[in-house]
Amino acid sequence: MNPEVGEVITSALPLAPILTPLGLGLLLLLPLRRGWRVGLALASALLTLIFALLLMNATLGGVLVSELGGWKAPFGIVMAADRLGSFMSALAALCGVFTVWLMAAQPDPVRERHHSFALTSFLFAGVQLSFLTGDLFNLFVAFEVMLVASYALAVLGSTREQLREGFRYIVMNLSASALLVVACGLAYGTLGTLNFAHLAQRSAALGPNTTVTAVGVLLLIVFAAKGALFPLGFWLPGTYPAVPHATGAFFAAVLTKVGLYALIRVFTTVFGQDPQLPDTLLLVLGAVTMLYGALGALSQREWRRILSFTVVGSVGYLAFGLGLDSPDALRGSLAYLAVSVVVTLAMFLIAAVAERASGMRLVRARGFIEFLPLLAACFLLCALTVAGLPPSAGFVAKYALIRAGLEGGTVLAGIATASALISSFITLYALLRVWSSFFWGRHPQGEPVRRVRWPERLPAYLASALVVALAVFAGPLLGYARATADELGSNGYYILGVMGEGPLNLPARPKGDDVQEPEDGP
Amino acid sequence: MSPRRAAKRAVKAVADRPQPGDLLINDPILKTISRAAFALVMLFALLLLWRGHNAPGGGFIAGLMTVGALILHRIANGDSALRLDPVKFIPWGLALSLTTGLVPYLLGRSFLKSDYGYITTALTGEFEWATALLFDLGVYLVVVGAGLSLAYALIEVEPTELVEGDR
Repeated sequence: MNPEVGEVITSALPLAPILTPLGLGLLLLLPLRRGWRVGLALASALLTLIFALLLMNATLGGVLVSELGGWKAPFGIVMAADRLGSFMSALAALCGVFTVWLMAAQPDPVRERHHSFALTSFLFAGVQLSFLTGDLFNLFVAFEVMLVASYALAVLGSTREQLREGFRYIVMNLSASALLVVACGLAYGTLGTLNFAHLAQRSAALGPNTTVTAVGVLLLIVFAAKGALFPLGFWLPGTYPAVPHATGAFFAAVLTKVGLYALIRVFTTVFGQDPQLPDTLLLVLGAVTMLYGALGALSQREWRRILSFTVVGSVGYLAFGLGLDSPDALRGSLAYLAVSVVVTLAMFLIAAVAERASGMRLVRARGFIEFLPLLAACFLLCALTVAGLPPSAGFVAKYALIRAGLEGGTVLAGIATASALISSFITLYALLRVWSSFFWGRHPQGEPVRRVRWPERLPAYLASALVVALAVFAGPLLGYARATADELGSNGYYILGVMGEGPLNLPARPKGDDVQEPEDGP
Repeated sequence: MSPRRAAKRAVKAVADRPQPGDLLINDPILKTISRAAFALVMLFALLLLWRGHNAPGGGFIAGLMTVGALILHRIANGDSALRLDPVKFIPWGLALSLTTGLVPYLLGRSFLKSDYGYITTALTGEFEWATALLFDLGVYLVVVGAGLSLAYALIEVEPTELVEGDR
């Protein structure tokens, strides 16, 4: 539909990617044999992906709204999917399929007995809910669903390292969640609503207001902690390498991006009134985070620790793009977001194969190009993509970002752009060093080389193929990012899509034989 | 008296000092009153559950009250009033709530849409039924399961390793 028509399109579709993993995750709690569990988990991930893709297709025509219990937008809870939300939902569902595949390929009887499949499914449900929810409080609920599942997955297995790192992860995220509730309360106290569209309407009606700005900055801090921006992201590089390969790949590819999605949603759709302070903060944090990620990657010696720092770096680029606050920068950020999710997934899957093949976490063994030539090629490709060199999708996205940065004009934007360029080179050096010390050279005699079965290798190759596909279809990707950025830029689109036009009407009262006012107890 | 409690009492006779996890307050006043209080609190919890879909109350608060009643029973009598593992309630409650929401969704209406109607019986007069009650019942089960599991986990502290100062 056209947003001009002013009708809210209600559809069942925005709920489908949330309910599928939730319902099938509950079934996974039943005492089933492993084959059934794997089948169910795979079916849940694939169905979620199909629904997310359908949703992405449907949101080309406008914002889709699911009303829970049939109550309209500002009164009831709604799920709302626009291009951004459905796109993120599809990316997360894609990562989910790879995660379940790798979990199925690496049997882990102890963790599976403690329901790792069901927990992963709940994690997917939480992630999907956070991308598709239409109000701030349900964003908090979604974060909690996602985080509770991730806490359990982070410490499942109870190795000493997991417990140590998991504790930091839990404490950090719990405090961020507490702040999020405070921000919800402040927003409700000031504006009297929690629905994103209604919040946007009311804060626009209120005009620039210090309390609203304070709420915005509070939310920025919360989402920066969830997204692992510089001073608040110290937990990330320790936590992700401690969890098993499959879940670690999903954590790395998607969980930080949930925080970034929330930042985009809040600062484009909801609190666009007074962008100066949040933008400055985002630019500064982004510039520092990029350098921190790049230097951190250089300082590490373990596969997944190095990659975790590149995740931190990629979050920095996204914050930088958001902080520039121009349509071009937003387009670049969205394209980079897609590239970053896919390439992080591919990198972690490659690291899983490499760690299994060499039997250790350190990047020390040499000469693996002899045993895994295809993997070496995939890694090189992904390294170029992460660093953003020409024949890759990373280049296209980073080029868009850097150009937007140069057009930004302010001194701060210039500094952040320089930081982006420098940290790209450092990241490239760090990753090429991994390549040369793992794949290049002659394999030392006596060091074991374990055979990695093809079901474990295939996801890494397929994810790398997706990275190639992103480079080949960079044009459509940028086009989609442009359309999404335009949609986010035209402020009324989301608001009208959720709230409809015209004055708010209280919903009709239910028609019973005699509806009586609720009494105050007997 | 549960065998567990008997064993604990035997240990107590030997060691003559309270063991960790002991809850033997053995107070006749508390025991007597707790029996009446348990029934009253449970009745009130059920009332809250019953009217919750349309008036103050609901599955969550009813579940919390039930947990309170069961903990009181446990403190007064030293054994659990339930013969089931409370953790088992959680998935069933969740499944019940989800199914209540899912049925209208799969029939092409809004997710969680509640059906309701009015029934008149000779005994009760007219009253309203709603499928939201089933949803509330699911929430109730989840809250009871989760609350009791938490409380029991905290009550049944059984230190397995000695630390400094234990001896």
